[in-house]
Amino acid sequence: MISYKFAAHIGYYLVEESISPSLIVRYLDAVRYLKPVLSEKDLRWIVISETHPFLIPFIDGALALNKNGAKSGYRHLLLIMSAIIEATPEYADKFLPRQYSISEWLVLIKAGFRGVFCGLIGKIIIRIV
Amino acid sequence: MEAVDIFDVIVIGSGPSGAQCAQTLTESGLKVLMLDGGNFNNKYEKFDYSRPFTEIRGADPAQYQYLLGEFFEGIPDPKLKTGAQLTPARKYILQDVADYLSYDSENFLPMESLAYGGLGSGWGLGSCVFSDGELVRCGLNPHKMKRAYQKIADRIGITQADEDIVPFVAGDTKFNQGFVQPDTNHYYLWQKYLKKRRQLNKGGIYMGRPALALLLQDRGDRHREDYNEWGFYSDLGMAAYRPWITINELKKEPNFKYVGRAFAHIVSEDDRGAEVSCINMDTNDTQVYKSKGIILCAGTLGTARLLLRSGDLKPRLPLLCNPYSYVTCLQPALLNSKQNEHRHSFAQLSLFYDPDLLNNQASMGSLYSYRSLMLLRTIGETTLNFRDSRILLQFLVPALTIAGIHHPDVGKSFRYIEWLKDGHTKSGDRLHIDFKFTTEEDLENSAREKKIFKALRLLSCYPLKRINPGNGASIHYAGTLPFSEKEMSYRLRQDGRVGGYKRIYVGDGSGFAYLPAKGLTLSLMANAHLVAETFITNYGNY
Repeated sequence: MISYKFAAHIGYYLVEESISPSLIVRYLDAVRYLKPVLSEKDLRWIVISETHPFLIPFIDGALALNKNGAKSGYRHLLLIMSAIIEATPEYADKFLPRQYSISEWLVLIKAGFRGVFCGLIGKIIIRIV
Repeated sequence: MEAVDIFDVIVIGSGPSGAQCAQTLTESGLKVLMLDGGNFNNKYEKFDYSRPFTEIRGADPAQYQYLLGEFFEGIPDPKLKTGAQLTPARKYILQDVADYLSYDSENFLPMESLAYGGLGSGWGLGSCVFSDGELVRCGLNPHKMKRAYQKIADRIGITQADEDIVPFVAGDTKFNQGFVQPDTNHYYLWQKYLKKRRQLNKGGIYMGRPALALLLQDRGDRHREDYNEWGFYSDLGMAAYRPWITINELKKEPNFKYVGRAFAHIVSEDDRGAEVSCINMDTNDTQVYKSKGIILCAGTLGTARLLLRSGDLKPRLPLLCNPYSYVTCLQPALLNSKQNEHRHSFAQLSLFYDPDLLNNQASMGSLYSYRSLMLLRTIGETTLNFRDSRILLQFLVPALTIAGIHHPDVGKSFRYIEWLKDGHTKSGDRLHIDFKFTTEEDLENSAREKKIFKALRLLSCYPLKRINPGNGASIHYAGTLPFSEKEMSYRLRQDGRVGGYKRIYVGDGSGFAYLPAKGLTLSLMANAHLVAETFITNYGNY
């Protein structure tokens, strides 16, 4: 039910670069073991994510804003991918605490504004799709 | 069915109570049998935990196997609360619980265990003595408990607490391991506290380095804490006290026998002796063990199940459980700060709020850093999408403090557990639990938390998000068989003997009639030691 394509898209979304095939395979194994419970809405969002991956941050952001959405099957799938990527030496630097230079503070500011934007616009988008 | 040797005493359960009870009994020379679920999983022990956590994260390609688990069981299901905090190396603590310790409830999520070492195998190590006033309210003898506290502290090794919190954690008991060092952000917080302590103490707030059951000096086979931050995953070196450490030592004694994969099902006694009927968890066969007496150390809920199952009457029993919440706090001054790479994983500081300044009903906060856990445990809690949460959390984590807050439980409202037959479980039964705090209790606890948050803000540590994980999440349970001066069924005499029985005792927290907010485990162990001593004294009568 969860395709390689979906996994590749959400991997790219989470760390903003393509992840290796071995990580995608590990993710698919994890999903097979953990069997997240997916509602009809989750399934619809998965299909949309495969065909329109640019919508992933909006769906994710919208769901993060409410209690039930945060616990949805779709978010569970994202969490699993985040965990898979986090537990690798190649991406440890993207998850471990770090200090930011002054010039890198723009990255933080961008993430903050972008996160809010994705959440608010996402709430509109998930009503439409 | 097959009867085996007759023992002097049977101890049921290998958790903190069972281990200390068994040690006292074994040291006295009695022939001791321990019956236990005994689940254990050391498959993750083969990994190298000798280097700091952050170093391994950047180097080991196999890390996902022990950080996430062989079957990725370390990735939490956002819908589940119980056990979500257990790392893969500790998941065995919940093995078989659904089959043998089943329950139903709309408002209570208990955590029980059939592990080798019981819930003590995942204990946070916080060690506190109860004050005299608290002990009396529990139904315990302060003079005897003080002696027992010292005995247990000497046995297991506990770090010293700072002066301000000594009345809450140590009292007159001497903890001999020295001071554990907090990490960068909690050292900073503690220094801020020291500058404002007078003002905070006036308001009933006290803070300091905690008392943890953690070795800071080598002792025999146990090595001192190495500050490599693996405490949630591994007991390598055995710096953290776990009950199985005691049981491993007892197994070397000729008068101690351990039987694992034995689920104690029914207890009984007659004029000749006592008997435990067990289910063999591997074969489902019934095995009977005989002794002169039995000490139940199966945990509050486990002991209640045993006695209810064994008795003719099946009344509803009361239950105490500390209310618990945790709060993510931010110290802005530490944003973008350099962190000390060497740290331990356990509570960095302890905080107490004592509203009447009498040390009889304080609330307790344990302050943790986030760094030893992976972001997967918190990234879903923010209100932003995962991608941007990750970026921001990298920046925020060094300045985050997680405060776990417990409040006392006096049991104002009647909450209960009820035994029910259930043919779908391997034990043949389940517990129904109904547990609600009154509005008055909720308001009082809320008021206490406001005081604690105010104090934290004064220290420039700002609460951001409070999470209520639900009743039962504190994993502190007591009071199903409250102490009584009268001989009554489903009540305990102060010496631990079960009313209506001559040979059956309880060594866990079932009898406590009040549950202070402080960590319960040291008091459980001290009480268990005293119950064992009572049994030894009474043994001649059997």
